[in-house]
Amino acid sequence: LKIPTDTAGEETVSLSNLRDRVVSQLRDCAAQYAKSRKHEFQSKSAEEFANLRKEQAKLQLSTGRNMFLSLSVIDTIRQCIRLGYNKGAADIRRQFGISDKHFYWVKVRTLAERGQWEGLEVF
Amino acid sequence: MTAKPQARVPPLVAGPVPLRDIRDWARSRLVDIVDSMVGAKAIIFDPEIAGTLGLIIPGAVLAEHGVEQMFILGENIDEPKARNIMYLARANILNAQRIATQIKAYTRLRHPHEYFVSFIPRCTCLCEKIIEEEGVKGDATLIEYPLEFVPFDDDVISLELEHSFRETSVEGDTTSLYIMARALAHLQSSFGPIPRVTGKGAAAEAVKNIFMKARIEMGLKDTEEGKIKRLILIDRAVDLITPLVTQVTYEGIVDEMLGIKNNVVTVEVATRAGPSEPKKYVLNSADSLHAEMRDVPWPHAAPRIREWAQKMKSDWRELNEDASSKTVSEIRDFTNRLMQLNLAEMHSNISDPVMKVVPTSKFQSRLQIERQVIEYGSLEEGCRHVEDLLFRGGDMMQILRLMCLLSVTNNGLPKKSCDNLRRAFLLTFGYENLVLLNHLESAGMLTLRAENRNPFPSIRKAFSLAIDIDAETGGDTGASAVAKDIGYIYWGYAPLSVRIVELALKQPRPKPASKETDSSQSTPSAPWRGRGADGLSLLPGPHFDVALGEHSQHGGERSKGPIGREGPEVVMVAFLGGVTFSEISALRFLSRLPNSNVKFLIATTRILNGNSLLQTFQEQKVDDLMKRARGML
Repeated sequence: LKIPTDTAGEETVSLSNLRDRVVSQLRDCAAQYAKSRKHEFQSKSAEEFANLRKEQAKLQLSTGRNMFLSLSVIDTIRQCIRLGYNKGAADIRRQFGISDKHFYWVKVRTLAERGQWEGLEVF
Repeated sequence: MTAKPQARVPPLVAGPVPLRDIRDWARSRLVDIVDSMVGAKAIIFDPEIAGTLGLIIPGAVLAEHGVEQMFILGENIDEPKARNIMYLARANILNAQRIATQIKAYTRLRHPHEYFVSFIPRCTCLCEKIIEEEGVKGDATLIEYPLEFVPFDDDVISLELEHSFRETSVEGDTTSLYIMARALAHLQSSFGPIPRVTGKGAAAEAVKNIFMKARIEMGLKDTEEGKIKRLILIDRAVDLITPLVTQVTYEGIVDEMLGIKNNVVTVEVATRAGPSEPKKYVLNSADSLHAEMRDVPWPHAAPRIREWAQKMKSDWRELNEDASSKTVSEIRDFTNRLMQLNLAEMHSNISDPVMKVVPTSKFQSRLQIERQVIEYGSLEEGCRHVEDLLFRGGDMMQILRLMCLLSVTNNGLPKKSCDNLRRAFLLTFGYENLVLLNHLESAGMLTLRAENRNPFPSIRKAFSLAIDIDAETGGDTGASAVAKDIGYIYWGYAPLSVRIVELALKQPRPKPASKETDSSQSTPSAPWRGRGADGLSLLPGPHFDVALGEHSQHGGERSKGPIGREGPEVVMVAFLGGVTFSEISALRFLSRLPNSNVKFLIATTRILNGNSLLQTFQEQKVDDLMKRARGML
């Protein structure tokens, strides 16, 4: 079983296109893994991967920027923070159950790297 | 001062057995192939072996034999001008397909070419079939370049099969073991029959069996005794801990931080003009400073390197002051010192980045957590450390190494910790790395704990893997002469693989198999004795120790004679799945101990470190491969 990664480099996939291909492939993949109890983790991860792709496509629409696809969950949150789109970051955080400690580390790091000290102050 | 081509290859005469013939043979075979083509030639190399071949033959020699252009297979290249196009590639499916596609494309163009496809080490049926099915068999002449071991130094030979461990452990492809066994058997035609084979691990057993069959095929006279007295086979799967532990010897730490590939290290060196530029340096024992320092752990190596740098500065001043009016002998002395200065400058450039990293708390805590995991198991603390690194944006391979180390020393991770760590890893580095995690699971490097028993504490105890380094080195006095345990090499950790070699050396010579019985299977190996022997059965795979032929009894008695009468015995240690620089250093250290009577020749499928081992489990990105290969030519 393999995760389709052939589209990882593409950044300008339209939402409809996405729903058709990668997401459904990943769902298939998760279903295949779910057939074996030993692969519970793999199945869950493939499912999460599909959800991430959907969320990223939404983010691309709502921010109007094609800069989310192929990022990891944490990098997606970082991208939102960089754009100052805190609602997006909070949504992803909630949906993927990122712990407080993890989220705050990521946020502090991202803001500090960009020298956004005022962002750190209101934090 | 970039390396000149001839400096890339060491003289190869000072080792336990002279390896020069092996290189000369490989070189002359390649030259024969090149010479068999009449007229101008272009060579297209498999990216994986282009750099390694540099250790066999300098590009300049190829040019002398009419090679006008050199390319990397898989790159988009314009049609070569030369009439003869020669491919030099490992025999695998990807290469065969690439070659066939390229020849098809070229035959459509106007210029006529002759195509020669040389597969290494043999042309397999599969490759021939692919060439045939693609319809280019009529256009190409298929030849074989039987390259096996490539000498890396006086005492190191490697097959440079980059993916051997992944292939055997994940894909169940044992081709590399077959190549290794044949190559070991073939060494006997240069150095005489090897009368005794000892080993540990499933891969070792497999190699031994093929090795024995090859001996029979070769029709070796068992009554002769060769220069190599013993062969010890170590399966990498038996000791996955050592490559995951950070190396701290001079050569090892340089490999960890900068990467040494085919004896070449690339360093960014600041120039006077401003921007730094990459420089390539060759590291081998022909360089006296490197020979002195390569096997020394960093805490003892660093002060020496600083000393050189100091001396270098004062020497420069001195040489500049009285550079005029010299006699011939003075000028000779002057040039000698200048060469020493060049070496010192090179090593100060190489060690500079290491000097900067070692004192950082990041690096120190990495060493500390590794020691803690080995010494106490520290599962919870280890997991917390991994999490911390993930949160703070640590390096991916570094994090993965620690995760694997935790898994290997705990007989797999408990489900909860394993899933937590794996999930945090995927959240940070992307779900596509699930494939990588799956591969590591199949290879037994990052697994779920199947049972509640963990044999590692017993293994640690049986092999005394954790060493009190202060007691070993006499504290901070820097008296390295005191050290007599291999734990010195890793500054507190004794590499398990080398412990197994130590144990193997202590075994009495077994009785040779009787003539009538099939020697490979039916002789039950005597149980190993001595300290650590009870730990051996806790490690995966069988172990064996067999004597071959009739002469071995003499050998057995002779070896009981007074030590040193016949000079040290040459023992070949073959690592199946790769070896680290520090393991090589640990073996050299063993042979230098005052009561030792052995000299090691190290054979391996490749030289690796934790990062490069883990990288082979990643899905290969063709672009990266190309980039690396381009740097080699």
